[in-house]
Amino acid sequence: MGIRLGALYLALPGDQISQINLPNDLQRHLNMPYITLAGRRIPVLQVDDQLSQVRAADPHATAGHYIISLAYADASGPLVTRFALQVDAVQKLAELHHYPIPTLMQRPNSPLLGLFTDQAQQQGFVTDVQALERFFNHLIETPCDDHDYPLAG
Amino acid sequence: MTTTTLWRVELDRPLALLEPSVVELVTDGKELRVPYCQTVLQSLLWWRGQWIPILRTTGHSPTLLVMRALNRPDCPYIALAMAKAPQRCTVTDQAFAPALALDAADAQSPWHHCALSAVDIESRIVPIIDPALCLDEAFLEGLVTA
Repeated sequence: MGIRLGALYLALPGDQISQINLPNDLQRHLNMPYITLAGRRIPVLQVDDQLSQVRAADPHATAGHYIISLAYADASGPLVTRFALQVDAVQKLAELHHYPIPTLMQRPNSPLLGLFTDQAQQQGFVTDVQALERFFNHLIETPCDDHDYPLAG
Repeated sequence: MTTTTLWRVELDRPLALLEPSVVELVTDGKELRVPYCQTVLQSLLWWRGQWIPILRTTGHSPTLLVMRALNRPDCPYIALAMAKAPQRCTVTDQAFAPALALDAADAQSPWHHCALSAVDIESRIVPIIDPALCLDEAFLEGLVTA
C-alpha cells in the first residue's frame, strides 16, 4: 500500500495496515489522541514529510487525513498493533521497481528501507511497520498487562 | 620525466582527483531528496540506471562529478556537487608532494582524511582525494563540523 504524508510517499506491505479510520474516529485520553482497535486504545502519531518532527497527532487538525493502524505478526503469530499513523492519503500500489538506499547516507534509526518507482514513474520510499516502530520508539512503550495504552510520556 | 593527468576541483579549497576516479560530469541530473539522512549526503542522483549518493558540501550546486569509489562494492559511485566544472591538468612526477605540507588552515580540513597523496599545482599543495575514503563516517562528520 502507498501512503502519503505531505510530500513524503511511502510504500509498506498491505497486510501491515490492520485498519483505516477517519478523523472523526479519533478520541482523546489526557493529551493523547487514540483510536480503538479490538477494544484497545491505539495511540495516533504523526510525522512531517522530512521525518524531522515526530509527535502525537493533533486531534484538532485532522481534517482531510486518515488514520492507519499498523500491525505486524509477533513470534507467536497473532497480529500486534502498537500505534497508528495520521496520513494524508492511502492508495493501492501496483508492482514496484525497488532500489537500495546506500546505508552510509542514512541516520541509524531511519525508517526508510529502500526506494521505489511506481507505475506513474513517481519515486517513494519503502518502509515497514518494524522500521516505523523503531523510528517512533521514543513515543511507544512496550505494552503492559496492566494498561492498554502503550504510549510513553 | 613522466606526467600524470589529474582533475582539479574547486570546493571551499582546491582538491585533485586521479583520472581513474573521475567517471562523468552531470549538469542536469535527476535528483531525489532523501529525508532523515546525513547532513552532507541528503540526495541521490539517477545515473545509468541506479541511484547514487550526492556529496554536497556547498549550497545548491547543480554540477555533479560522478566519481568511482574503488573497493566499495556497497557504494561504487558517488557524485560530488560543485559550483564550477573541474579542470583537467597534467603534472610531472616532480610535482607530487612527499607529504601534505600545509598551512594551519589547510591542516584542519577534513578532506585530508581522504587524501591519497598531494600534488603541487600552481605553487599550492593540493590533496589528491580517494573517493572511497569520502564514504568514511568520520570524514562525513568532519565535513559537518568543519
